[in-house]
Amino acid sequence: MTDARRDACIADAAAVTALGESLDATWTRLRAGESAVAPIRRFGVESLDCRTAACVADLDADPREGENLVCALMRRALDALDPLPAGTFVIWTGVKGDAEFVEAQSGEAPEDRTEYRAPWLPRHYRRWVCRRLGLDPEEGIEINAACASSAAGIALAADMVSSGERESVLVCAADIVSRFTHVGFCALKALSPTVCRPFDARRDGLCLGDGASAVLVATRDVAERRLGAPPVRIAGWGLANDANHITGPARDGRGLKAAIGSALDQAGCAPDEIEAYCAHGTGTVYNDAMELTAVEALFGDRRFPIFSVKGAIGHTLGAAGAIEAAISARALRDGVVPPTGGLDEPEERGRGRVSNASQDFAGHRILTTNSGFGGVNAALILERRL
Amino acid sequence: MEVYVTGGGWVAPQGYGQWSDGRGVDLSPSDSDAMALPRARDLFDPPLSRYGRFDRYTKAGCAAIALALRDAGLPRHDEDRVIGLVSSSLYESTQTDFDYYRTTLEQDGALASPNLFSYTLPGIVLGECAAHFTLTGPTLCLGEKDGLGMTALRAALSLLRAGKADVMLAGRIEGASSGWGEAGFEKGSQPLQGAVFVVLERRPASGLSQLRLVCENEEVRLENGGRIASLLDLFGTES
Repeated sequence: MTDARRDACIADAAAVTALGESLDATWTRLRAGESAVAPIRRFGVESLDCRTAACVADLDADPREGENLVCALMRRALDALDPLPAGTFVIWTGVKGDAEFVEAQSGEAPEDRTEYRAPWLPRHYRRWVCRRLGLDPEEGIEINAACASSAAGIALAADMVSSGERESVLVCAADIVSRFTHVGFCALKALSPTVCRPFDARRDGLCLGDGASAVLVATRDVAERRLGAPPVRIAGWGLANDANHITGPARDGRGLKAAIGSALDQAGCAPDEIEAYCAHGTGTVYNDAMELTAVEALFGDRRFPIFSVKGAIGHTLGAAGAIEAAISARALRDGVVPPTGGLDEPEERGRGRVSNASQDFAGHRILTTNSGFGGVNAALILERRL
Repeated sequence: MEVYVTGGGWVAPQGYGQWSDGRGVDLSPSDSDAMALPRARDLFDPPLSRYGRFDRYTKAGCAAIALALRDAGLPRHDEDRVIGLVSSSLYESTQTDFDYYRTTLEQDGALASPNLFSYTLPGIVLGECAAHFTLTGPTLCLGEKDGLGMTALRAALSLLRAGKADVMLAGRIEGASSGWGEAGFEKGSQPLQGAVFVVLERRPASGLSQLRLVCENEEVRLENGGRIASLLDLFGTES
């Protein structure tokens, strides 16, 4: 563990969502204000109150390869990456990859899915990713921090690179809309029975989404060579716990404030130097209120663009942080944040901050955060200088 | 970087104990699924009301963390403290995944248990402890990889080095039933059972028993140069 601090940068990023087969496609359709939320056809939902999600339409596993749907989704993201630097360390951050296995073992999956009856636990996905990319399957770790998993993975990846421990780290995550998770969130009364509307005055819950992302974190030299352009730097990161409740966020936003504060300290910037914010924005009453409380505590009355992608692509669980970091990097590049899908009438504290239209911004720092069950919070500050 | 072990706790089918006891730890598999645990009132003051209903994984993790904090002189406190928790596991909370999913099979999911669903996340055990003991540092669950608890130990040391916490707990939790070795998960191997955590500090208060660790690159060594290959190497080692 050396202490030679170096810049950790985003050297590459790929994402597959229900809005697009690539990060470019997702970004284009997000900016156009489109939504991928639709009635669920993957499993029966007739007896449930909540029947929509953002599913990738043609997602199908290849049983000859022993793959399940999570693999099929992740494979699409991995295939979009150029060859990786030798020795790249892999961090897997998917959250509920064993859902298909558990469903199959419990007799709920179709008969023709017997090939899927392999126990896909996190280490199995990480080794599968390594083998697929020609990397050493023993090099890597798996992280679970609930819905902040891939943001936490990027944070640790940045630390590995900036400390000199690693030259390049690939943070991977994929989670699908499974019966396991959809029914569970429905039981928790966390799903919207109407439309997912982050930061809306009438918001009533989240909707789930298929999502996969792979974000390569590397030294500035590696990133510049790979991109041929100035890369986005991970200027600061923070991780903190609410120490409050296992499923409900702290109403005073204390954990999120601490995570953002830690990231600001590391980035060496004041709150007024953050010019845009990609919020977790699930669309639940309590999460979004907690985030606005934290925003007001840290940033005061200042109005700057805040957005959530979850009304358009759904909540992609472990993949959310990596997808949102990749989207935030695009926002920095283009100087614009996308509309918040589903938003109709912003709640009072969101006025002048969130919008159902794109919002331009002129700065070079963006904040992205995720929060999750178990009280976890993760914050990343991304910076782009020409 | 130098770091000090200031406490530890463990629970297993064979018994339980603390780092300062000076005894070794035995987490080896047992034919019995019963875990030897301290009484709840000896661990949690005020009581952790849900403790009795926790699954084996959550119960083992909470008990070992409580023992470790007490051993390090860090009992529950009214003020938030920037203390973080990193655990590793091979099987995580998969047993709860099956228990939860069974509840979804009646009436097409209408009777699914929201409580069990929450505990299908392996980090909920850390959230329970963070809330009870007012710990506001980073909380992460990692996959176990090489050497018992070493993945968590290295991650905890990295977070200390990065200045993201004043104190970190690192440990491993396993709650798989003894039948899993034959259930197709890891054929031929019985999973370990129990939990073990150590408390790590960069600047510990004086007066406590302490064990100094030297961390370079990915190597963790004792002051005398002895290499640490497992968290269990820290137990039964003279400070």
